[in-house]
Amino acid sequence: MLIAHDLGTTGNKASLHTDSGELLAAVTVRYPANFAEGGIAEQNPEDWWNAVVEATRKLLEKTGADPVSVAGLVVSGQMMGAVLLDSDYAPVRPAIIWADTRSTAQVDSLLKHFSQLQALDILGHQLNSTYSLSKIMWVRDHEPDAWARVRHFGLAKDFIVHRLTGRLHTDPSDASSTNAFDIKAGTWSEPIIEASGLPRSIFPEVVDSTQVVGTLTSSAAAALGLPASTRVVMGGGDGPIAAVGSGVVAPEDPPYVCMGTSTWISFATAEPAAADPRIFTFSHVVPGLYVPTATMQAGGGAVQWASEVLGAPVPDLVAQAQNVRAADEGLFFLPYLMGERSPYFNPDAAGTFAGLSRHHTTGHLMRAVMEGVALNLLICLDAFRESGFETETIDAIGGGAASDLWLQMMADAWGVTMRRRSVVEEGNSLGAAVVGAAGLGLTDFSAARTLSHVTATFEPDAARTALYREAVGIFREAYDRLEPWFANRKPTR
Amino acid sequence: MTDIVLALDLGTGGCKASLWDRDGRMLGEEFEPYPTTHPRSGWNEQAPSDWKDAVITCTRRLLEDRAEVVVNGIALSGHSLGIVLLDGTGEPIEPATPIWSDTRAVAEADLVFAELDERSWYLRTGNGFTPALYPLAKARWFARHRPAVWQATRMILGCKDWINYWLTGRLATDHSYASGSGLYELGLGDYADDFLQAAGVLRSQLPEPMASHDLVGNLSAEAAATLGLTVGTPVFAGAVDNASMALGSCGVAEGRCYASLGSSSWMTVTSATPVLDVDTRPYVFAHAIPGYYASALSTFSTGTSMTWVRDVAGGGRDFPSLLDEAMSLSVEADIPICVPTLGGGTPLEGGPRVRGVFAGLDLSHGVAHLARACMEGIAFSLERSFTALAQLVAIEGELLISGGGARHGGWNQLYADIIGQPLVRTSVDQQAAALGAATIAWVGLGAWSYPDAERPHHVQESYRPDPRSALGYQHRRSRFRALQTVLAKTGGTFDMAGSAS
Repeated sequence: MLIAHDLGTTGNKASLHTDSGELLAAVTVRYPANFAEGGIAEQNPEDWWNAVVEATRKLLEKTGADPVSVAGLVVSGQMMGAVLLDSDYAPVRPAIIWADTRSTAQVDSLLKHFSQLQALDILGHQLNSTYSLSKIMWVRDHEPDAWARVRHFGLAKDFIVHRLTGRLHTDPSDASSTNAFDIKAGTWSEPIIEASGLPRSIFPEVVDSTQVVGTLTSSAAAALGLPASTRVVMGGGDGPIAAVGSGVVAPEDPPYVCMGTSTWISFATAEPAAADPRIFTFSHVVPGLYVPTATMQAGGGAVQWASEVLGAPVPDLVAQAQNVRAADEGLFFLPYLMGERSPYFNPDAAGTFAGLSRHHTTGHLMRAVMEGVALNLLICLDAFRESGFETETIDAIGGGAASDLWLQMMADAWGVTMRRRSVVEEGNSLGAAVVGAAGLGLTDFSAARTLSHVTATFEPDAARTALYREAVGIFREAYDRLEPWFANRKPTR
Repeated sequence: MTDIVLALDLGTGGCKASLWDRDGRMLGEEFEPYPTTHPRSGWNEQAPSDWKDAVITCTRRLLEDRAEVVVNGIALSGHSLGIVLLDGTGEPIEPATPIWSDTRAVAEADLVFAELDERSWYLRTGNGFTPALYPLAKARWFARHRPAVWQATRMILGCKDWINYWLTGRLATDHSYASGSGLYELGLGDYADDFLQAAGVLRSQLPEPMASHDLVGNLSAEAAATLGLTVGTPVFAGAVDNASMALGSCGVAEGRCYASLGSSSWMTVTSATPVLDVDTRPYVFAHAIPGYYASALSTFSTGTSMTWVRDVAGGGRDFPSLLDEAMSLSVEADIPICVPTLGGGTPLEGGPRVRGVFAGLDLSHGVAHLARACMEGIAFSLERSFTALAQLVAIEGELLISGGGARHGGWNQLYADIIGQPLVRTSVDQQAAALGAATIAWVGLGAWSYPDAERPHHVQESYRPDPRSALGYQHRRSRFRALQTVLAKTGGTFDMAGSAS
């Protein structure tokens, strides 16, 4: 047996797994996040640690599992943040998490040295304030007292793995979410770090996601109620970990779409995707592989929002959306309710209903929202296709994948067979467990393919595919025409 | 005994009869609906016999148990652009007639403007609605598609003139109604020969226009008996509804402006010269008051858009609570932008193909934000009409608001802040057309002069623009205009047909 931790934005989920990764039980302990004006999003790393301790103890208590039978621990964590530590590895300030966008000036200063296309080629990502590098620079530029004490930097799971083992490392998947990692070389990017002006010494050693970092320190063992001999596997960032949870562990595995609050398409490749500003690439937790990814800020989130605005539960609205037409009737929803990442990387983009007519009902609006997500991801899928990637099948996981209508819409819009996999919220736990089990030598990555199964299949309708192909042109054009309007939407203060 | 006049207001939905005393008090009213039928797409018809029946029904109901009143005179207000075709016996040739909103004559309008310069026709007639709506084009439609009917046609009348004919036996019209025919030149004060020729209409097929307060004739024995009135009661020419509403909305001096806020909305200014503009197309009627004009700009999809928001997203809320929630958001709140043209727009709004947009939405927005955005979008649309009119004519005094869209105090204040003009709502409210008709009757009887039409107005509420809020709305107004511009560039829509053009 092994225990996986999934450090999310709202809480930490601890889960107990068999040696081949099957989920036996899970416990979630929540913690707060501080969202404040000016794009601030922070969490207290001590809250993460306390949640890891509490969740581990509750999990053992709940399952009655013998602590000695736990072969090891592995951690999956939220990506793109910055935990800054002093010489004693204590946080000098709250962690700046993925959602924080305050460091735009620092990004601008990096852009004096590199174009976005150059950055994309080195990093697999454009330079952006949501990544770690500019966040660290912001602390240097605005908090000199805190900065003077900084000796180390890590991601969320790195901080936890250090607390568990006394060793601070990171892995390629998380490193590839920092804007400081040369994705092809698999090392920190010296030119980028030099341009940032940050000391190279704060960046931790990068080890394989499957590497056993060490065993529990005596104090960690006491806190968790596990033997000090328990091994700890490095683990990785929750994006690539979710790919493993969906069975995406080799280039031949079909891509998957994770339909959570944010929604993304991702797949495994032997090489990073060609530098295309619509998409980005993480290093995979499977050593040597990559996961090209396109992420929408609000996919399932848009549907949840529509449910709140339209004043009805999602299933009722989806039922109403079933028998009406939206794009066919000129009704479109641009689902940019939190700005957008793929394909535009435009924080100013905003949600828009266009083409509204008096005869449109609540069902039409819901359908437009669902189609908007499918059409936006079609643009992303086109970017993958242009870079030479082809697929006939895409697997869907996450809460949104429960909707037959939505999966049929995606099959039609994307011209692929959509398969629903039996993974709803446990993708990160399963993925982390496989990374852990592989690292501990209990199994190999192929175990990931059998941890979930296909529960339904949706075939594309060629006529609808042609229609959505026409619709996506209008959908894009609507964005292109509105882009300057979005840029000036809010008054300058 | 109380001296009163009977005002009959033939609206699109039905007839309203009301009694007005010499002091401008309304003593009672009755309404009787009549149907509009839609035999084909774009065809909107009513039966003249239904108008007559409604006039009879509501007049009789109104006069029941009112032995104390003496009806001194009668005047009608009627919906515009009518084309009732009468044969030699004075009977309508067909049981149903197209009403103003009927769009069947699009191709015939093209034929007319193959012969006439459309722009100069607009500038001479002030006819700023889609030309296909005017009798000028509809006459050609009858000639082309109903040649036998057209051959038999001896006289063309509007709705209220046909009722006047039934009341008195005299074929007549007034300048305001005639000015909505497409054949009437405002500067001439008469039908123009080249328009008649292009429409294929003979001057003899049209009644000669008179002043609204001129006597058409006296109530015939038959009509008097049917209505329960005295034979010989004077019947005055009356006016088209646009003109009677202007008159009944304090439009008795130059620069007076009112806004009627309903399913669709409009803003009308009274002036001594027609307010004409080829781009924005104000539509102009001769006023009921000789020498004046009523010039207006419409905003489509106003009240209907709010109804739509309530229906699709209101979650069962009624209007007052939805509007209250929307107005509980401060001016400084992050409100999305709504272009409320869900049913197409006026020329100023981007034309008939334009559709509605909500833009600038984010996760923090709920139904109150949508409702507020729609309320603001409607106000920005009205502001655009007001500004367009104000550029063409000096607006005097407060803007009078009336109608179902003017019942929420918070929204009215929002109108004032966005339009930037003090607003008043008075006791007359939706009785404006009836008051206009009653005024015409009292003027015809020599008891009133036109400015007396102001007397029945008692201010109920007034709203002054709050400079701080006005400032707060400025940015969103510019975003609203910019969004309208984006829409106009797409041909009004993002739909599939639109992208092809």
